[in-house]
Amino acid sequence: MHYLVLGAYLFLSLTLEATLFNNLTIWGVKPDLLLILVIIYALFRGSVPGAQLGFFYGLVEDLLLGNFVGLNAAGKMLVGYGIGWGEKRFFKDNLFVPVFTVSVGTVAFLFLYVLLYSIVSGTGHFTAFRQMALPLALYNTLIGTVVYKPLARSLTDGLLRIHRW
Amino acid sequence: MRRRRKISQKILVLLAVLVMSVALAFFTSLERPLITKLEAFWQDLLTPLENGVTTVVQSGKNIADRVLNYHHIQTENEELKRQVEELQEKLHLMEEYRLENIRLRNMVHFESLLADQYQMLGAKVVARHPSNWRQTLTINRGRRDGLREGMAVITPRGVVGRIGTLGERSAEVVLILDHEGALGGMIQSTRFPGIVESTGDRHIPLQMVQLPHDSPVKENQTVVTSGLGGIFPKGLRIGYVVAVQPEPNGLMKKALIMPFVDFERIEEVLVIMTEKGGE
Repeated sequence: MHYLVLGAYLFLSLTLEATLFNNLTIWGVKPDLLLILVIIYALFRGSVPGAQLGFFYGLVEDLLLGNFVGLNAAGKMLVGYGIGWGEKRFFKDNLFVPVFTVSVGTVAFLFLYVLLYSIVSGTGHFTAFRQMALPLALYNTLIGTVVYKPLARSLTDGLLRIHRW
Repeated sequence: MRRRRKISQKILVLLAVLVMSVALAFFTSLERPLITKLEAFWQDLLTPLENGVTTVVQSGKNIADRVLNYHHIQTENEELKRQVEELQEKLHLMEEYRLENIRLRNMVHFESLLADQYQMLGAKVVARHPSNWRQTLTINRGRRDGLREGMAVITPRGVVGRIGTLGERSAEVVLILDHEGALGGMIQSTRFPGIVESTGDRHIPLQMVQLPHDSPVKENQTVVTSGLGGIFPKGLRIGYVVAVQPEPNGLMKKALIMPFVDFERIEEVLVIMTEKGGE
């Protein structure tokens, strides 16, 4: 059930990003719904599951885009791994936690993505980073804060809970 | 110690995946004519879903646009309505000018045809007599333009009337339909003369009276001015005979005449100022 929900979230997010959020941009930027889940998931599950989910979500996203396959996967994997480090260190009931992790995670992801992209393509794209970092971090943080409570409930007691036999 | 080794292993795996990902990105960075089956699979899987959501989103957006832009649309609508009215007004004016142009062209053509016989002056009809009893028009030319009482007023279609009272810049035209507007006429084909006067009937407003019972007057014959009486030059068209009836005394008969000029729609006229040489 846990994987089914993650799969459904994947499809829903990709679909909404490709459709609805084209009309709901802020300063020309759409939110990265998959990254938001990767960050919150990593926060509750830890580094390795966070990195795994980040890699899988990123890879699917890359495959849809067709070029530079692996950049989203690598970026989201590293962010998932990094945020997962805070699993046992953050008091998750504090609403400041999602605000902090989602905003820092988004900026880190964007930086990693642009860095890897620049390495692979051989040209620097840090202007895009400067232009996108703030609006994307704000947008992701806004949505992350809204979905944090229901996601946290789902990850601890709901559909995204992992059954340990 | 064991825990540290475990973390190192994790980081090693992470680095290995990272390097592989970057390598994959490098190989897929070049333009590829075809996508892999896996990529095609994902795209085909998402496309119907995206299509459905796009349709819903677009409908929602259209509704939201209408609601959010209601005030703007209302203002725009009022502005457009105002513009439509303005343009209709302009269009109407243009149509008026077009029709006036046609009428004036006809006038000019007619005037040039008669240029060797008469000197004429064009005038615009500015008013009609307010009462039903009198049949007169007011034109925008007067004494200052050289008009004199009794001058003949015509259109390319036929005789209209004669100048009655005169102002400095306007003149009253007594129509041939008026009971004071009788004039000398004749049947064009037979040259048979008679007096053309008003019947007082709106439908057939003119008649040629006191014709001998054996006079050769028939339906559809054209009636023109006879030149007798000194007001109207000879040969101007008046109307055509629609019926011939006996007079009450039984000795004479009268011809009912339909004028060529449509007096209800007359807008410009020509005043014959002088006759050049005459007949």
